[in-house]
Amino acid sequence: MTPEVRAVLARHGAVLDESGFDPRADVARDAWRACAADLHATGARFFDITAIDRGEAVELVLVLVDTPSTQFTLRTSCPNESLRAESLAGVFPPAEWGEREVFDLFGVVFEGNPDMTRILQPDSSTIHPLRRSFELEERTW
Amino acid sequence: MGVVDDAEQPGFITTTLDKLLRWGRSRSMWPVNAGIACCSLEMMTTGAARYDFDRFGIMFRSSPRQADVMIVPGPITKKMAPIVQRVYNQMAEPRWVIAMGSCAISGGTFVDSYNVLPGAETILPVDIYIPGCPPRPEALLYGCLQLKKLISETSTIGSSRKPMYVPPVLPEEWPLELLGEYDALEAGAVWVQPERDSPPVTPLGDAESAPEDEL
Repeated sequence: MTPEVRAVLARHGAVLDESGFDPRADVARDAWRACAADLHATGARFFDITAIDRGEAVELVLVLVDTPSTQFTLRTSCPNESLRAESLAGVFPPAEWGEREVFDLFGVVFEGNPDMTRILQPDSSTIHPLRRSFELEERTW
Repeated sequence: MGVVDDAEQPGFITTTLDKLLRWGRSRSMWPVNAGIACCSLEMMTTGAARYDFDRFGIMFRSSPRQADVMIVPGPITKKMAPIVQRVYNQMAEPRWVIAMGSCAISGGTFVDSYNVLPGAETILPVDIYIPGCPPRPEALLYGCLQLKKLISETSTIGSSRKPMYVPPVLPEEWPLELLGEYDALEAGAVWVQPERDSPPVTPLGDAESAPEDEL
């Protein structure tokens, strides 16, 4: 990670964990979009956005690549009571579809996404199938 | 069928219109070129030079208006189901459906999935089932020849008109659209399979049902 990325993460109060394969930074949900925008200003590129269901909360995972091609992740946590986060579509345009996928499969609503609709399932669907609480219907034959 | 043996006016045969239509339809099956999933790669291979669909008169058409056979090569997702049904409803009548591969037969490995239909017969009246994951081109050819046999044994004159297929239970979760007055059957109406001389057959069955010619 470049010093610029470290400085941005420190400025937004991110907790850095470099013990694993990729460096991971946990940031508060309020600083989610501002931190991503500052990382974008350092030259970091968007790789992926996805989520992990931790039971009590849904953890958003933003995978970025900084200028010398080091991959790192920025994470934040959305408690089950309020599954909302600020959209990063204004910072990284490709994040729009990734956020729609996270909404479709996990139910996290991204405020500010220009088209916050389902992307994989039909619009009439009411389920978020990658949540741990989701159970498959019993087979009828 | 008989040949009129008249030396002054040669070149006449006698037959019935029904037999003539069956003969023609069974030898010019035109599947709609709709590859849904991975079995369509095997479908393409069957259409290419080594296996050569064209020698049986089977030519892929890119418009459902020109097609009378639909090969369903793969799992139908709930999002795709209305489109698949729409393509089927746009096809010329009489029309037939081949379910190719495990997923199109029963949902296959995705049978319990939240997003995949348990088989093409959920929304389409399937005539031929071809097992395999994916079926080899020989199996697809064999299935098409079985369909050819089925077509040549099925009378299509008279009351065999198939209007829009309406599944017995219309799903609420992924609604299917009705396409106009002609198709607007009552919701939930049971589609009745037209009578046939022989029941639908599956490939790789008993040897007696194997086609007698052209393999």
